Amino acid sequence: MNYLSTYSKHLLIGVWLMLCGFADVRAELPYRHVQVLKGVDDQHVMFSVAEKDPFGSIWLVSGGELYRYDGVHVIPFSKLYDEKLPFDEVQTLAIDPWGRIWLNTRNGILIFDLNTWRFCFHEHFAKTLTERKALAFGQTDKEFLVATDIGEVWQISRDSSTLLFTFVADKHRGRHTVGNLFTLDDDCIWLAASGKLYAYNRHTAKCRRTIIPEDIDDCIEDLLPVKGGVLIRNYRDGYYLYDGEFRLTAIQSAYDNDFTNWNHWGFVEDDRVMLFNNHGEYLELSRDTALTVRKRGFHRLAEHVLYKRLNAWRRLGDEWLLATDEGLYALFPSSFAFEHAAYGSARGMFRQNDHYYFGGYGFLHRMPLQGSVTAYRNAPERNYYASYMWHQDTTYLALETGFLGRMVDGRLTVLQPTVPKEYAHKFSDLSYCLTAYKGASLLVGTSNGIWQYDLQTNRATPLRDSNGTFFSDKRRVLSIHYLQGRLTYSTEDGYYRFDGHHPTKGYPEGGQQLMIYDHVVDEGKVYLATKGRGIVVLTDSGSRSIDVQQGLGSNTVYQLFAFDGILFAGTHRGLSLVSDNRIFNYRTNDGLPFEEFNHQAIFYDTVAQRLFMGGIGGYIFFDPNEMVKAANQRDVIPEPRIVALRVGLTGNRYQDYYAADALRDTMVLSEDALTFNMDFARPNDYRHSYQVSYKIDPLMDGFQPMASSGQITLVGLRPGEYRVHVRTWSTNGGFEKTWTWLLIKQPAFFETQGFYALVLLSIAGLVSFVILQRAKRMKDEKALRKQISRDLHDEVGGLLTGISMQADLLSMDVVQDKQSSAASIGKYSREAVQMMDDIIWAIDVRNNYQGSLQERMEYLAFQMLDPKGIRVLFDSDTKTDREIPQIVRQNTYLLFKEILHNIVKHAQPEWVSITVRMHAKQLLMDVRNNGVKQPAQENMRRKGQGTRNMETRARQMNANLIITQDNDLYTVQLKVNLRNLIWRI
Amino acid sequence: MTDFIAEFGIRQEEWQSWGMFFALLGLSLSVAAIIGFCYYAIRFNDRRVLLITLLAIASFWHAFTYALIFTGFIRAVPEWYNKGIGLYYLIAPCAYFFVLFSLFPRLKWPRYPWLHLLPFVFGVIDAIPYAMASIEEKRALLEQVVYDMQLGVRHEYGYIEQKWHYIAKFFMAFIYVIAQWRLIYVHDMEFSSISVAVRRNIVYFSLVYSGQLLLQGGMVVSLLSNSSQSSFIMQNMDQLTTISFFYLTLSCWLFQHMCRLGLRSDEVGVMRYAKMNG
Repeated sequence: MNYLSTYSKHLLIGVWLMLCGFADVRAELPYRHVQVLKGVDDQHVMFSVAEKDPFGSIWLVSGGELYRYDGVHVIPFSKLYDEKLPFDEVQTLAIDPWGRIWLNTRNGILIFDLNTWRFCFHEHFAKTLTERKALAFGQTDKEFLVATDIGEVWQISRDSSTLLFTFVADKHRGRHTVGNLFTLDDDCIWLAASGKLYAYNRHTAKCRRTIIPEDIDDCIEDLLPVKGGVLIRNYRDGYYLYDGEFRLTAIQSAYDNDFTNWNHWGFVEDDRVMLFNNHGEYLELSRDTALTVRKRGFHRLAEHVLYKRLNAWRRLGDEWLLATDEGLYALFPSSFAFEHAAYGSARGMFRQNDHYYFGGYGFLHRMPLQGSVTAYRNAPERNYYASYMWHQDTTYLALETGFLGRMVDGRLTVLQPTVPKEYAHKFSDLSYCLTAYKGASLLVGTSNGIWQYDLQTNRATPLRDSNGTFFSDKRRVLSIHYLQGRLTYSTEDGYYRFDGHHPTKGYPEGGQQLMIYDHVVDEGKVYLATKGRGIVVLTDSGSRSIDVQQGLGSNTVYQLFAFDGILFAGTHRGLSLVSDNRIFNYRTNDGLPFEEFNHQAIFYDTVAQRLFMGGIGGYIFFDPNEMVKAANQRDVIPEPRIVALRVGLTGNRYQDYYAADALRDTMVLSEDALTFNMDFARPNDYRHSYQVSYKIDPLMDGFQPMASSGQITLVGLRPGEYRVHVRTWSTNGGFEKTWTWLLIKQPAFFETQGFYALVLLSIAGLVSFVILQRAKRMKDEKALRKQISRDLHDEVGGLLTGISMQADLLSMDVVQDKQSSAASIGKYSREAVQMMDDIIWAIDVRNNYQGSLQERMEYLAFQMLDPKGIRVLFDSDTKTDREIPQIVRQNTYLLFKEILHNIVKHAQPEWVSITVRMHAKQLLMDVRNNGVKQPAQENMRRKGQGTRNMETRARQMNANLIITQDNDLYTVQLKVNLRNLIWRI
Repeated sequence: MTDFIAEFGIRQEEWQSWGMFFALLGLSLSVAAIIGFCYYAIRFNDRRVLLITLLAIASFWHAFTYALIFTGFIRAVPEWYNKGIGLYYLIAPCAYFFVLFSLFPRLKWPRYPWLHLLPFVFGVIDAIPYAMASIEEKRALLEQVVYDMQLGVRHEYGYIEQKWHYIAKFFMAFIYVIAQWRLIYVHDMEFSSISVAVRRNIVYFSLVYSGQLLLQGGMVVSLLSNSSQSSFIMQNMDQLTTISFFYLTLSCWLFQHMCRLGLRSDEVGVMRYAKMNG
């Protein structure tokens, strides 16, 4: 009922304020809130509790189910956990500092370890506790305590749990509060349960129990530990302090005393107690029993956050997660507090005396130097587009419809200028900008050129060049400045200069057109606020762009202000601060109340040193010095995290990894991995504006933006080492940091060096087999020859020698006829032995050495010819060390033998001349004799068997055989080309 | 020394590995063997000793510069880098002719022996651009090479792509080693004047050399088939350990061969050696 009445009251006030055109302006505490999630999906927006784990993901309970939000996706835990869930309903949860989720389920505590991705049942710290239900969890950044439903308080460490004290737990009297009734600091652990307050002194390890008065206990909501006691929030009465006895404090709200959760929020931080109340009140007290007021002020949280139905708030570091019925919110300190004059879409503004007047569509709005914005109804509803402060109490206003207005001491006069007849048809009363010009005149930029307005004559004429031409005719003028006798202006098609004689186009060059909303001249440079090219800087040496690529909020810039070398640019996507080497951006998640700024809505109050920048939600204003200082201190970039790893294996199998231990810096993929997905979280995305890009070495040359899904997919990875670099780049100041994960893909056997070595071995084996087959034939042939020669020599040679010897014995017999027979046998057998010996010599490869042939030929010649009384002239000349190929040696020798046989048989020469010459290229044999008595007639000549054999042998070794007869000289010449033969070992 | 290591040393965690142990032991044995070979090459004036000396020097330099790059110490001596390209082309022909003349000591050099030196000449020519580069350029290159070893085959200091050296060198070696085994196959002790011990020694050499070549070949094929990972492959300790082990084996063989030569260093030994080897 209380809730309803309060809600109705606020509703009524809100409606009334809207009707009155009341707008708000606050000197706000730098705390801000962001809606992290609207819901687990569009239909389910209620969250029971939410907590952030040490790895940056947020764990949510909604509808009794557990979810994980990694900044990209909300995924039910049931999908992340392979096995059957050991719970049906999660009532609440807490996460300890070591990355374990403590789930308080309907059937007791379950502890899930995020590092190993499994439930803990048998670990020492879990053994007892998994049989209990949790009454409450007490936690700090480094400590974790559990109060169980059977009245035990356990302190949990990484590996163990310690029972600290016991208390009386009455389940029936327990009331679920949003605030903490179980809290701790360095000195004491406080627990309010069953109408009793337990104080466990951590130094003495003693527990003191005090009965809470019933009227306090009835509406007890929160315990805030302070030095020397505890602050107890009673949502009906306010704050009680217990420091040995209970007493109501004087902590009050200026408006009402509603200490319910939806109107009140308090916490302790360092040595402060910070209280946020409805109506934007903020109170900071000393964190002791004195509760000294340190600060009072305003905040901007209540309107949006505290009125949601709050189910739980949880703190991690400087951030609070608020689980509400309408989404999940995060509250955290803001790095910079923008003051905000909220009244609607903003246009030009000015200061007159002690008030600021804000232009726009409809009424002007007015705000005192310190105070609230209200609609200024003393001036008519107009489209107040731009302003020019002529004097402290006189301002001229460019009216979009109405041309020009003058406001003196808050009184507006719409000027109706007279226009020469010849230009009347060109006159436009749609004014967008204005500036002071020569003498007592103004230049007004309109939808049709620049018009000069004479303040004294109330006459408007088009600004003309030295030729009398209305040079800005048909151009919509968006900004105009007249400085040091030089006029500059921008239009929808570019930026121009006018020196009093001729206008020249400054940018872009040639016939190109570019909409330029605003321009600023500072330190010899001209800055152009363009639509599409960001900020264009014109210098004497040329032009350059500062755009999104360099970190600007948007390529559409509506307004510019140069301050101390820094440009303040109101863009389509937030506020950008541009210095020489950095660009800082502010967007809604940086505390900016709106992101889209407006044309001509910028004003610098030199007296108050306030810069006003207007947009679709009114004006923000701040001290530019303070903002530059704050911007330079912002260098926090969230660390990207891998939250899931999915590996596709051969055989259509998949492996999912979620455990933090498996997602460390180095990941090893098995050899059968085919696809690989890495899901990256975007932690704190709601707090910081940053961009994420990635690069995979050695597959990519440069960084590329990460998909909004936060997923990197790799397919068909070859074995090796891959480095996944993830770079986060803060849009505020361009701070960047790169994290690297090492990915090792194990090779399958067929991708190993060993396998390749085996393949090479196989190829080498195959090639060798082919090559050695040929060698084998040669080798076999050699072996066969060796075997034949050995057998012939040993077996047949021995036999023939035996016959020969027997014949010799017979020849010694006295009988003459027997003697001749025996001599014949001996002769034939010796000839057979000699022939066989020749054959053996010829085929035996061992005789291939150099010189063997010549020796044998000489021996044969003397053996055959000398007994016949034929003189032998043997000449041998060898000029090579090369071995004689077998085929050459064999055939040459047998051919030579045939020649000698023929000589002995058919000629009776007196001499035979034999010449054998051998060098590297050729073997030459020349046999001559003078045994021819008369030349053979041509028709009588016929080839005998011996000659044919000789020719055949010559052919076998690819040699030339030349037989000539000249008078009594018979010559047989053999030329063997050794080069034709394959050189073989 | 500590300063030197701190300034130039990288991958210090790998220095305790087996691969590095094998490599260092192999290099030490090689150095000892090379010194011995040089002495005996002068003393015996034998082409086989000369060939095996050349082989030992070339393979030592190959392994040594690789170790320098791997450890980062090459940055201390940038002039040493890329000097051995030509030398590496000599390993395979040296091995082949060493086997040839060991098994067939009476054989003369083939008709155009200088043909076998052509790759060596091309290799020397290709090393000129790096040799001519300024010391700053060399340092800059090596600064990258030691961390990303694939740059060793991707740098621009050469007339051809550096990877072709690896391919050509291995391809040549592959052909030579097959021919080498053919020599062993066709060699017949019955017709040979060499001793069984010499032949056995040659077979062992061929086994060790072929094993090392196969592993190197496996690495080359691995690099070619997975070029994006060449840097990883070239510094993968598993693979380098195996290759280092085989280099150690080769060094052991070289060392024992040097010792065998030493046992024959007296005059009688020389005569026996000469007789034994024809």
